[in-house]
Amino acid sequence: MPFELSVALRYIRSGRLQTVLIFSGVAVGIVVFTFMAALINGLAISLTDNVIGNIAHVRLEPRTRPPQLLGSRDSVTPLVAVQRGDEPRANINGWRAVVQMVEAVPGVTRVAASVTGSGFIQRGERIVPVSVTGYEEGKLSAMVDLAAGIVRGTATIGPGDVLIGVGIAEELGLTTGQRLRLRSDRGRERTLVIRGIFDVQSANLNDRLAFTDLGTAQGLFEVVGAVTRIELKVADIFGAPALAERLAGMTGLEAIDWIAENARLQDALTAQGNTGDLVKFFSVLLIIIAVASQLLLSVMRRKPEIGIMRSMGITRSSVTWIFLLQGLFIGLLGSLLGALLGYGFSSVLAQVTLRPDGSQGLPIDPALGEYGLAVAIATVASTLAALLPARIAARTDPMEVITQ
Amino acid sequence: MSDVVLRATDLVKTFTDGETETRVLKGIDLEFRKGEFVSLMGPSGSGKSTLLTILGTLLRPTSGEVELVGKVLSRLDDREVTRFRNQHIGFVFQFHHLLPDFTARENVRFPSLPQRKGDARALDARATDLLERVGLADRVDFRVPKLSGGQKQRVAIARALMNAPDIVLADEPTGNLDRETGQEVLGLMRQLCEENGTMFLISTHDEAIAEISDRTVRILDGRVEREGPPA
Repeated sequence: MPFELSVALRYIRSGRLQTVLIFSGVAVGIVVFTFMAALINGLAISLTDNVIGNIAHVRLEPRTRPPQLLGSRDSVTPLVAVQRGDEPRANINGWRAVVQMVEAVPGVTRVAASVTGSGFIQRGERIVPVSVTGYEEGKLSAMVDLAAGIVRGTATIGPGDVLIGVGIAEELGLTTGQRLRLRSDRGRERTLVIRGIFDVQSANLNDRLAFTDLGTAQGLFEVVGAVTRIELKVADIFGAPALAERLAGMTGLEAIDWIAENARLQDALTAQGNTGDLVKFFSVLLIIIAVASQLLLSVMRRKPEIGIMRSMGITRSSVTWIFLLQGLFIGLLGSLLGALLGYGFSSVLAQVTLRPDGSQGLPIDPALGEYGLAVAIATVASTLAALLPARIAARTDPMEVITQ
Repeated sequence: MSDVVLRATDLVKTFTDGETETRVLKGIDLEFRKGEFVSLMGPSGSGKSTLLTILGTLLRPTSGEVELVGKVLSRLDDREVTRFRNQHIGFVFQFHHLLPDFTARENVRFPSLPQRKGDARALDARATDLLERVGLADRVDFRVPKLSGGQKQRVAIARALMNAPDIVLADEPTGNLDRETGQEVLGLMRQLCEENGTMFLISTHDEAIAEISDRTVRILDGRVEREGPPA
C-alpha cells in the first residue's frame, strides 16, 4: 500500500469523534440527495403514468385536406371561405396495412386502430353527452388500463357491449347488465349492454368516456371499413416526439405525440426536476463545506506533524496526496453509508405512507434514488473539497515546526 | 582524502523583515568528517540553529555553499533536495516531534516510506532492531502518547538512523529531558556514532555534551569563534 494511503487511512481512523461527525455529515447529505431523487423520480413516474396510462403515446390521424380550387387563372386572386364542418370527415381507409407497417417500427410496443366520435346516452329525461371510442377486439386493454379501474363488471367487451365511466353510471342510475341507448352525432342509435363501469381517477373522464368494440363504433359513426385513428404505445415515452415525426413521414398521416398535447405536464415535471436538482446541489455543497472545513481543521492541528514529515524527506506532492486521499475516502465511505441509509429511509417512508387500498400516499420509489450517481458525485466533491486543505498542508514549511 | 561528509563554505544568511535586514550568519566555513561527534555551541541568538537548519537543507543560505557527500546542494531543486535530505540526513529535535497516531516502530519506519523500495518485512525488522538498540525492545508497538519523554527521544534517535544517513543533526536533543535521561540519550548517540560511523552534529548549551564530543564548534555573532577539541 502506498504510504500516502496508509497515512491517510490512519488519520481517518484516529480522528474518532471528528471522523464519526464528518462521515455523518456526508451520509446525511447523501440521504437528502437520494431521498429527493427517489421522491422526484417517483413523483414524475406517478404523474406521467396517471396522465399517459390511459392515453396513446402517439396518435395517427388523417390529415385535414383543404378543398382544392378548380379552374383558377393567374390574373385572378381567388378568395375562398370554407366553413368548418362542411369538409368531408377524414378517415383512414387502408388501416390494416398501416397498422402492420407501424407494428414493425422499433420502439413501438402496442398498436390499436379505433373509431372515435361524440354521442349521447339518454335515460328518461336525462341526457348525458359522451365520447365514444371503439377498439378492435382485444385491443382496448392494450391502450387503456381499465382493468385496475373497473369498479363493477368486466373490462372485456364484444359486439353490442359497452363500458361506461362511473360518473355516467351515477348520473343516469345505471349498472352492469342493464341496456342503454346510445345515439351518435350522426344520428345513428344502438342499444348496448353495460359490461363494466370504470373509475380512472379523473372525474372529467369518468363523466364522459364510453368504450365499445370497433364494429359498433364504425356503425354508430358511419365509418364503414375504416378507422378514425391508429393509437400507439411506445417503449421510450420521452422519445415519442421523434418517433411521431418518423411515423408521420412513413405513413403520410398526422402524428400527434402525448408530450405535444400535455405541455403543462412537461412544464410541471421540468419544474419539479429543477427543484429536486437544486436541493441535491445544496446537499452536495453541504458535503463540500463540511469536508473542507473538517480537513482544514485537521491540517491546522497536524501542522507540526506535517512539518516533521517534510523535514524527513516527504515531498509536497506526497503531503497533498495524504489529504486528497482522506477527502476521497470520507466521500466514498460516507456516501456509501448515506446511500444505504437513504435507501432504508425511502423504503420505510414508502411503506408507512401506504394507503389502506394499497396505493402509495407518498409517490416515492426507493429504487430510483440515483445511489450510484450520489456516491460518485459525493466522492468527487469530497476529493475536490480536500484540495484547498491539501495545498495548505503541502505548503507547510518544516522550519515553522522546528523553530517553534 | 575524502572522508569529509559535510562542508560549508562561506555561508551567509540574512533574514529580511520589511526594510530591516538581519545578518545571522556572516561567513561560516566548516568541514565535518565521517564518524565525527561534534557539538555546536554558542549563546542564544548566535546563529547555531540557523546554521543547523541550513546544513540540514531545511533552509537555503543567502550565499555560500553546502556540500553533502560530494553534492553541492544549491544546484538541486526543491524536490531533489527533499529526496537528498531523506537519504542522507537524520534529524533529532529538542521536542521529539513524533507522529502521535503511529506506534514507535511505525515512527521509526517513517523516513523509509518515501523511498518506496525495500521489503516491508526487512524494513520493519530494521526499525525493530534500531528500537532494540536504543533500549526500547519492549515498546516497539506502543503508540507515542504511551511513551515517556526519554523513550520518545530514543524513538526520535532511532528514526533519525532508519535510512542509515551520513549525518545526524540534533538540535538541543537533551534540552527537554531531565539530567539523568539526558545523559542516557547522549551516551546512546555517542555509541551509535561509533558503531555506525555516522557523523553527529549536536547544537547545545550543555557543556557535558561538549565534553564527550570529538570536536566543539563555538559560534558567536554569526561567525565561528573557536573550533577544536573540547577544552
